[in-house]
Amino acid sequence: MAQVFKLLRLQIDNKYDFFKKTKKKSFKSFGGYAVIFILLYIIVFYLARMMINYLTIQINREFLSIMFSVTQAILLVFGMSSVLKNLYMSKDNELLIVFPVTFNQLYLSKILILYISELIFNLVYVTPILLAIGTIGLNAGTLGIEYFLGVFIMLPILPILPLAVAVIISIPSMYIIKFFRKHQLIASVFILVIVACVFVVYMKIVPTITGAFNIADKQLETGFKVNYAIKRIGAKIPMYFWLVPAFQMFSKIYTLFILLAASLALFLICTIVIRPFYKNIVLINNESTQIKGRKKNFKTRTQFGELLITQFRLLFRSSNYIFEYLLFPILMPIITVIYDQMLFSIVVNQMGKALIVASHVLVIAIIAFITNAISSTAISRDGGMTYFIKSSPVTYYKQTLVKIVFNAIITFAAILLTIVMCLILKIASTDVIILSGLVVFIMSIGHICQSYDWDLRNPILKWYDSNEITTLSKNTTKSIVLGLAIALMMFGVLALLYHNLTLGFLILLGIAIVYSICRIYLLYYRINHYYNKMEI
Amino acid sequence: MLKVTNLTKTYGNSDRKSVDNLSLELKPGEVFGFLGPNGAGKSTTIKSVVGILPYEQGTIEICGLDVKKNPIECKKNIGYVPDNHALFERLTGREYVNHVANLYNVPKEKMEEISSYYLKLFQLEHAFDNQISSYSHGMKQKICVIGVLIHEPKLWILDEPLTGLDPQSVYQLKQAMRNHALKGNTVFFSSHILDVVENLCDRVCIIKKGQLQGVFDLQELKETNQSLEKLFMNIIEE
Repeated sequence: MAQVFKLLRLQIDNKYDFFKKTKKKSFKSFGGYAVIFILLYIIVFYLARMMINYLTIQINREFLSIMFSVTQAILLVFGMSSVLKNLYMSKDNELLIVFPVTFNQLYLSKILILYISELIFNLVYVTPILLAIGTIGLNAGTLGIEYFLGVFIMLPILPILPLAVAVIISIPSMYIIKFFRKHQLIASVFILVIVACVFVVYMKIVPTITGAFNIADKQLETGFKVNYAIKRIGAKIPMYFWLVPAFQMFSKIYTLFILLAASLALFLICTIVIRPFYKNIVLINNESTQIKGRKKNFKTRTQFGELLITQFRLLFRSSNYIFEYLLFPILMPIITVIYDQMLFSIVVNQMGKALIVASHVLVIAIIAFITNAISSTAISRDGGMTYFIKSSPVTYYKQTLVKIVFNAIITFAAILLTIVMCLILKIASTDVIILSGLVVFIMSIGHICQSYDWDLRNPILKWYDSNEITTLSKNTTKSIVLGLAIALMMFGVLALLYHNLTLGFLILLGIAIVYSICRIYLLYYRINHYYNKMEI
Repeated sequence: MLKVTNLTKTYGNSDRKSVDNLSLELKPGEVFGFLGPNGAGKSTTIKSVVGILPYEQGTIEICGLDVKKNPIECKKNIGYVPDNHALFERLTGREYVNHVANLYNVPKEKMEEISSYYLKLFQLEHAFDNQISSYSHGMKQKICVIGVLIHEPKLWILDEPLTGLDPQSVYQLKQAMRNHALKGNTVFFSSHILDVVENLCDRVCIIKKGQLQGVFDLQELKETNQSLEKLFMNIIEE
């Protein structure tokens, strides 16, 4: 067992900064989590309270049953990602297995680190949601203090079940991933089919939802329908429906212990069943898979064309990058249209209308700016290949232009598709739709340049590492935070100028043009200096 | 072909000079070995020559052109095989070679001709259309070499190219290096395998703590019955 704990400590130190020697680092780590916890609590509290009050939703047994199911689903998704990354795909498997430890000890330490990750995720991201809803229920008198006690008692128990399920699902998932790695064309087609299915389902469901829940015209009726739907769905989730009374008034408290026992039993069974597969999959994963490409002839292209095509090839051949960098632009039209259809169906006054247009811009801008985070790893993604970038006879200006155009094409395609869909579905007036897209795209140019600039000045380059970037870098965080700030600024300008939206758009266009020109100039001015300074 | 004059390089805020006032001159048609213990400054010198690392003092000239003043023209004349075996792993071998060739504006016929010659030499035809991620270490090294030689560089630089290669691959790579020099080009490589260096090179230089200890003609060493190994050990242990 001592070996297991040594392995566990090694992995904790590698993953978290809790036990770092410098107090500053530990404090920063805890502080970061505390800030997320508080912010999430405040945001969920205000948003949920607004919705609950507006639709007079009752926080009853069925509502809590749905809420627990949703939070468990969130934990399952996070658990799946953790299991795949930490258990099977982690590079430290190769390193740790050469220590004088058995596969079982390594496996056990991995399971424990997975539980710790899930517990931290539950505490930081899920508990604020439960507490925010609890506070609303407490104020409304539908929940008591025992709910909060229940939440804290359940804190270490709630992650067990999703983790156990994630461990089970991970086995077939790994085989599927391995298959897709070998057949990348099928993988790309599969992703496209999934997106198409989501789109078809959306086209069928959204009109029904917006028709059924017309909050603008029939607020009371909509509230009644929502409550009815909650009552029907909540009661059909047996396990959580059965668990809720323990939170409501400590009645049937034994259900918590039954859940704990059942979760632990399932978890033990899962881990025992999965153990033999773990060794197999890790060993298979370390072997190189022969990936056959189609036989092609050589093609001559310009330097620019060749570099651009390679950027797309490298992106489309990585499931990680497709997920990280293409998910949001692919979903942009769908999210925007769903959001718009709900908002534009509300009958409001002039200010309300302006706010809805501002919200439309806000949604497109947020997704576009998240997409622009591709540029915040533009240099770092080359990793060990930076030697090639620096030693090839291509000017740094051209290399930069290629990477910026690459990002701009993805962002532009997403915005264009969103504009086309909004125009087809007649979400708003044509000028509003086109102006929104135009403003966001011009602003994106500046944002892409700034994100690239950050990565150029502070890239994460490892000479002996040609792996994909899988962790969120500081540059990416900075890029996303800046993007959110710009998106909020755009929302603010349009909201403040609600009486004259045309003026609002003109001001935004002006800001976008000035911002983009400044960022292009600054980047152009610094390219050679920072490229030359870059050491690897 | 390559002229390094008083090169000095210090990393970041370090007080220690990684390369200290180094001067070298390489002639066309020779294979030149670059020797030194770990941390002597070999890789730093090579990275400075190929344009990866900036340097504070000295000049580097390739085919008579200053690296700092004419970086692109200089890079056109260089082919560099690093020691990190990094490649765009999600490309196929062919796509990678095609990529490099297009960056150097190599005509299609030349791509076909040169690649098929080296694919045959390295026995890599069967895997050329497979993704590089599935290659073994030796195969990656070979595809990197093909990529480098696709534009027939006048100066071919290799950093520890023989590490981890099987005897057959070592033989094939040595053959390629010798053939390249026979065409009037220069091969400049660092290595710790003194036997190979002794058999393959025309001249060698030894550096220690960033400073050049001497340049030696291997033919002269042979004629005076001196072994490279002994010479190297004497210099390093001084």
